[in-house]
Amino acid sequence: METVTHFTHVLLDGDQEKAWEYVVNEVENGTSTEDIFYQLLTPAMVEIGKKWQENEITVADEHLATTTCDFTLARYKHEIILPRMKNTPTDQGKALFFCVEQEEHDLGIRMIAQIFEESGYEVRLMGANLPVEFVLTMAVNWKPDIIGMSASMLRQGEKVPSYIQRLMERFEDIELLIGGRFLSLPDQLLDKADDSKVTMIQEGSELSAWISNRAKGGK
Amino acid sequence: MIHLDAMPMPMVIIDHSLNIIEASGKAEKLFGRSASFLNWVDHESKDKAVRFMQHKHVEKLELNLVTAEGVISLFTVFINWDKNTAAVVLQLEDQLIVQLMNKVKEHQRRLEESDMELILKKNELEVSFGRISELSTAAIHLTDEVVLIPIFGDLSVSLIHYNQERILNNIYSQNIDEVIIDLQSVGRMDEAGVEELMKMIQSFSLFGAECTITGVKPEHAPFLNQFKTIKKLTFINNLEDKVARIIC
Repeated sequence: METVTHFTHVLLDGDQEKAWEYVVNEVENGTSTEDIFYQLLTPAMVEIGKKWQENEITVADEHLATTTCDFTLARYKHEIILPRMKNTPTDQGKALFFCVEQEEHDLGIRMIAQIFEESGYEVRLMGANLPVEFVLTMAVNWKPDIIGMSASMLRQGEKVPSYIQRLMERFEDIELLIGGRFLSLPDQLLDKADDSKVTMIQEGSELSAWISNRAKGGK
Repeated sequence: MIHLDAMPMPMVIIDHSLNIIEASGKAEKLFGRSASFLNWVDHESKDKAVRFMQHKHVEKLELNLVTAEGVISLFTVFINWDKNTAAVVLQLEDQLIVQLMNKVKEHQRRLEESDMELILKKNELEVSFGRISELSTAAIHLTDEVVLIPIFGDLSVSLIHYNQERILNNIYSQNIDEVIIDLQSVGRMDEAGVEELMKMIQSFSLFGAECTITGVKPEHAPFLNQFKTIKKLTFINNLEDKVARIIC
């Protein structure tokens, strides 16, 4: 917990080197990628969001912290995940990730993409603010097995059902993963889909369970 | 007192319940008419507005406000209380940030697009490569019983793997008696590739076809020594003589 508080300040200071030191330290202590993302990076960014709500920081501070976290993530992929995966086959399938239209908060989906990469998937990350037409074009050409989408704000979350519908009517066999902060908002209206091809992910642990279940060939 | 409409920025006068007592023309044009200031505040900023404007009287606050056109924008709100009313100035904050972010996103999108193009090109290349590989081991029927397979390019495991099935099918279904493999257009060889070729030649003999290898270059000779163990395999140094004999 104390580490999270320190790490939050490091991000707000925009200190990329220091932020990386924290992460490397965790890696050396044997902390898993999931734990680094879910127990350090995510809580720090949540804390930064709270600080804005508390009128303690401005949006400019938030932007700086976000870029710093973004940089840390990019470095994590190249210095930790890719070397780890060098001699491991990527044979679990293809996974495509993006944020829905007008959603600019893409840190979460970037973490998820890396977790899939480390789990032996071939991953394409299409980033923030992606209109459904782009997703469809990419899916037709690249033929993913899994498509994961994320929305953070309520207004963007309202677009998720139409994405699900457009993707499901076009691709019968693709599994859809839905995640992001909007799922936890009291006003969001997305039903617990009963379709076995659509899974809502609210907690990191749910995703880990989903991945290991799929690796075993279960549903 | 200066009239509100004279102010260069959108401005309102509010009471302690955040009711709007008076709004400048600029404010009403931007947000529409409203009885409460809270109606202009984005859903997810409402708590913040109530806490810091109503419960605490801060002088400066960032809030997401919703314009009459439905656009959520970041505003810095300056508040000055005087007994029961407060003057509130609204300063649109994120225009510059939005412009910069849009530029960055534009670049990102462009990178993503070229990334996607590269993937599609890669797929096309893989198809072309397969085709090239097929053409590198064409099976030419010299007579009904004799097939010539000139191999072009580097002799690698993948080259043999890619073409083995097609060649074996051809030899089996056409009742071929003799296969001539011409190596004169082969560039590099490696041991693994040679081993695969040897396995394929052994399969020929299972179908009763004899095999002749021609066009061996000096640098390939060391790799091919192991071939001597295969029965029904001969080496010749001149393809012309062989073809002439077959045709006669």
